[in-house]
Amino acid sequence: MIATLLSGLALGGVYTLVAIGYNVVWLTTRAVNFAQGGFVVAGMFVTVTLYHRGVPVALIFLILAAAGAVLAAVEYSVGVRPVQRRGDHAELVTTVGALTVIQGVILLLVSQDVQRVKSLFPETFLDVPGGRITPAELALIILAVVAGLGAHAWTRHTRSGLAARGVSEDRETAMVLGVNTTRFSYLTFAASGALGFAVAPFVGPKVFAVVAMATVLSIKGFVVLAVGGLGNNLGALIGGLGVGFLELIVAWQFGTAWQNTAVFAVFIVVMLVRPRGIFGEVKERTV
Amino acid sequence: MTEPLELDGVHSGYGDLLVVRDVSFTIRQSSITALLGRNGAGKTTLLRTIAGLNEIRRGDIRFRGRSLRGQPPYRRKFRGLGFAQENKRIFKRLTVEQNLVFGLYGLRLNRLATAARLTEAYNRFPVLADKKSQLAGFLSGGQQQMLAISQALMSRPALLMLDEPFSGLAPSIVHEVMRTVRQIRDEEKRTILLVEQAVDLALSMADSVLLLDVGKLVHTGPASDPGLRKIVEQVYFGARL
Amino acid sequence: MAIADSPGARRAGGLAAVWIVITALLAFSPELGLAPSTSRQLVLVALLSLVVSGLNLSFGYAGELSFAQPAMYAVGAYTTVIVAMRWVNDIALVLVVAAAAGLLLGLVTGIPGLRLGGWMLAIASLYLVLLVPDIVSVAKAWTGGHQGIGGIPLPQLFGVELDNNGYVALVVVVTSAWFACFRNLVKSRAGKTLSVLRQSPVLASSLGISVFSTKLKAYAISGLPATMAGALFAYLDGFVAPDTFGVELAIVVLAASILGGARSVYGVFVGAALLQLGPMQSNTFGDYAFVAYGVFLIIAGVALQRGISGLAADLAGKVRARFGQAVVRPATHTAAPADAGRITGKQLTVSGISKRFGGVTALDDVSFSVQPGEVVALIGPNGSGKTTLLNIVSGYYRADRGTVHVGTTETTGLPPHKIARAGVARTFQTPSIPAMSVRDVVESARTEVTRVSIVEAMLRLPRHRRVAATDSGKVASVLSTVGLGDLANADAQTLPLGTRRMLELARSLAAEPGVLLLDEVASGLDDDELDELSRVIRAVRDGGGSVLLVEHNFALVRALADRVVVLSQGRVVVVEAPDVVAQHPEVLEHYLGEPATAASRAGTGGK
Repeated sequence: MIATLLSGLALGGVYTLVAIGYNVVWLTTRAVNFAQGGFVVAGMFVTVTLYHRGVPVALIFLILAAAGAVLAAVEYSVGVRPVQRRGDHAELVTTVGALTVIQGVILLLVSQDVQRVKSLFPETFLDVPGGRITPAELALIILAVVAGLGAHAWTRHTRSGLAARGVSEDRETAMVLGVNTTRFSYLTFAASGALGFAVAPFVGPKVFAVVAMATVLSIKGFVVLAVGGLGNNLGALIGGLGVGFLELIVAWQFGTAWQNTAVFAVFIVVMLVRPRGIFGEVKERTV
Repeated sequence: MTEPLELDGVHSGYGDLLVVRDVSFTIRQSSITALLGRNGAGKTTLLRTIAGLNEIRRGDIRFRGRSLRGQPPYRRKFRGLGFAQENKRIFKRLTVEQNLVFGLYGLRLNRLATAARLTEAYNRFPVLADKKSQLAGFLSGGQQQMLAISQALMSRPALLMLDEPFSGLAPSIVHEVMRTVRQIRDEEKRTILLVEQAVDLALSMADSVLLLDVGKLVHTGPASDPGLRKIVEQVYFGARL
Repeated sequence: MAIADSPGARRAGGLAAVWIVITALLAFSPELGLAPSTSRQLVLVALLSLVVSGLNLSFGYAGELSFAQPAMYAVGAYTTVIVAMRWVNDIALVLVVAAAAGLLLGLVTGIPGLRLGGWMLAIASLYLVLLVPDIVSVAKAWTGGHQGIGGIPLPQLFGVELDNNGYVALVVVVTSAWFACFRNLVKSRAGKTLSVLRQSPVLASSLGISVFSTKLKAYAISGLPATMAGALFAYLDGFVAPDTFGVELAIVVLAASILGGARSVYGVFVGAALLQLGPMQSNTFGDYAFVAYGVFLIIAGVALQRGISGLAADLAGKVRARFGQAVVRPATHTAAPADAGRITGKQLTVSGISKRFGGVTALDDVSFSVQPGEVVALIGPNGSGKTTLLNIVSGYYRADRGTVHVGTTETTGLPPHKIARAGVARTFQTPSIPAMSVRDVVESARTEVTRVSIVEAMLRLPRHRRVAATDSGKVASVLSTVGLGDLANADAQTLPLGTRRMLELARSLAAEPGVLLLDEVASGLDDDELDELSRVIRAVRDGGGSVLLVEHNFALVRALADRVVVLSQGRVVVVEAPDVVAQHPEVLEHYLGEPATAASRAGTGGK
């Protein structure tokens, strides 16, 4: 039972990390970047390649973060910024396009599209009641919690985080008060790309590097976000861990064929009952 | 000494709609200028154009002697422009104090200087100090307006633009806000450009008046001019058809 | 004008003839010597076209991006698996069952999906595609699970087994029949309705169109071609496996739709053919297929908004302009004959309306009425509650207290589209004009006046023709009333502001309204345009219409209104003739806002 719980939380941690990437971008641009799951999967393949070459771990993280930041900034400038000025939500199409390009490039460059990512941690097992888990799984849970709380603290207590929330609520007022909203959008896109790539060494051992995983992560990450409340990082954390846990419980009780269906059902029910998500913002007073 | 704000043949608008046409005027230092006109006359568009939210189609705006053409809104703030937009557009999901600190964005003040600016703001409107940890969205309309003005003042702007600061406020609050606006001119020596629908209210505090109709400047002059009210009535109710 | 002789009808006849000839040629192409490998490609293009057309209907026309097409395709394929292998192997029956399943699934997924809308619908539908393999494996006994299922028999039609040639012919005929229905649907008024809906839901509801149920109908129908295609596909190789219906297919379908033009009928064939014969075909290109789709989606999303069919239309326009058949596009309207015909106005009665937002009172016990044959102006300073009142009358806000009646019908609390159907038409402060021709803009107001069902429109049944004829008559007469008769074919969005305001007025009149609400209809107009506008409004009044005019231009109010309702701080100050109002001391004071009197009212208003 505890093993299932922890294993589920680790899987949920993956979704949380994707969801935080979505959130950061959503706050400043009001766009959902479908490519977010692609960043993580691309990061996994880069990680595998760099491991093979014997690159030191610290350097791997640097390379990942830099590559992710550049890729996401390019995506913003090519595919999102031009259509956002038009306001017809064509970024729905262009970010799916970006996700597809990332998947396509990986398929072109790698020899096999399913690869195992070596853990940063000792490849042993820890015994817990009801089974065992790996140190990598434990690390993933911790990372998700730290990232979720950290992102939450960023939006509550730091000047740039508050500015991001201001931009999110009223772009014009933020501009009048001195925020360079364009530069801000670039920075948050770059940050989400860096985050997506840099968590890959943690995520990889849990889910394998599979190209098709990009779409799955993008979808599940978004589902977590919608359930937790768009723009809310605590929601992303709790929603992510909850969804991961739900998947494992359902798989354990009814078989793996039901786990996606169960998450889908929860997603639809939450959206119909509480469209703003569980932690979605309360509607403030309209004067 | 250069005047704080000079407009020279400014045209501006939205899409194919030209809302402000060929407007030229100059504003004096440490004065309150009231910008009057019927609804749709182009008052808000003119303020937005000065703030950089609408683009200058033709003509030029000089602020403290330098052209504002091509300057994005955030740079205009750092040149000394403050703008409290219409309908109290503060950040309703941030607290009162977070809203005020937002007014200092980009100024790189240290903790001490920040605290000093906050005290300044709370002295202007003491009620905000009592509510500093509350979400701005839960303030009353009058308090939101006070917050909007205070937010624009955090950067100690040379020119403060207020778009309908009294609309929808209870009369007692109107008087409090009016008093503070006068103080901002008299004690802090700032220049104020004010858009107001209530003509007599605007005239009671302004030094000079700009009257806009259908996007054009139709009258400028001192607010004390006894014939002014007749001119305003003419523009508001005049038979032009 | 007799319909049968009109050039439009002749063109339609010609189109039908061409359509039948092409269908026949393709259907018999194997007999005419088309190689089997080529005819297989023909089938694949036809099937992909069917699937893409569904996306065009929901995304291009109704404006809701759904990735669910592969799931629908799977439902069709497994319908064949189950019906043909376990029950009766008759392709006609299979198609009927598949179509019914498609409609049903469209309704069932559309109800939650469309309530979510936007991003949520896109993701939820993509998720649905992800579930296909899971559901297939759960129902392994019926579907064969992950490995797929073979042994699907050759198709039979009414007991006759179809050989390959027969199968090709059937696919071509089914595709052709669906596309004829699809074309008829989107080229009928329903297509214009969807277009209005996509561009402005607020406008659509003010025209009496129910946003949700219209989108739901379009969405449900959009599942139909994909399920039929799936049913046909299962017979192609006699083998079905879940990996055919994955996310890749969703991307291919979206790419094909955008490439051909999401808002086109014939573009579908171009998009489907290019993707089927291009990336999905060649192996060397296959490696680059994903990159190509992705790059293509980005480019198309950024630059190519109307796809190849859009490019073709632009090109055709340029060619026509070059060779002298330029569409004449006069910049403004001609003088109006001031006769709006007979109008059956209804009395608008507003009684005791109050509305608060948070702690602020926007309207306080407001009552007045507008009689047929009367223009009532509603004026007041900024923030006095005029817009709020208008939004309550037309259903965008709900009043806290009080009632609104249109004639004898109580409309309090009804949604906007029901109020519009009760006879209330309105214009908007900023004219709300969708991208379409002037004639279509006006015609879109007729949707709820004379109703035609989707099936009637698809099959061009007699009622569709009758209604089309009355509509075009009404549209022409309304356009000539406002002086826009010569501009019927012009692109409405390129018209100058004054003309767009007149067009909004024409659209409102086409709805044959009991009550006409005009929201600051004079702002931004020059003096000539104001004269023109006054003439039309007077014509409406003299014809018996009830007009409520929300206006800041007091000169216009003076010239037009029979009575003026002055609103200030949410209350009615006076209801008087315009000349009385202009001299009324209290009105002046409310407009110019004396601070002294404002303070004296503080006792009641203070916090």
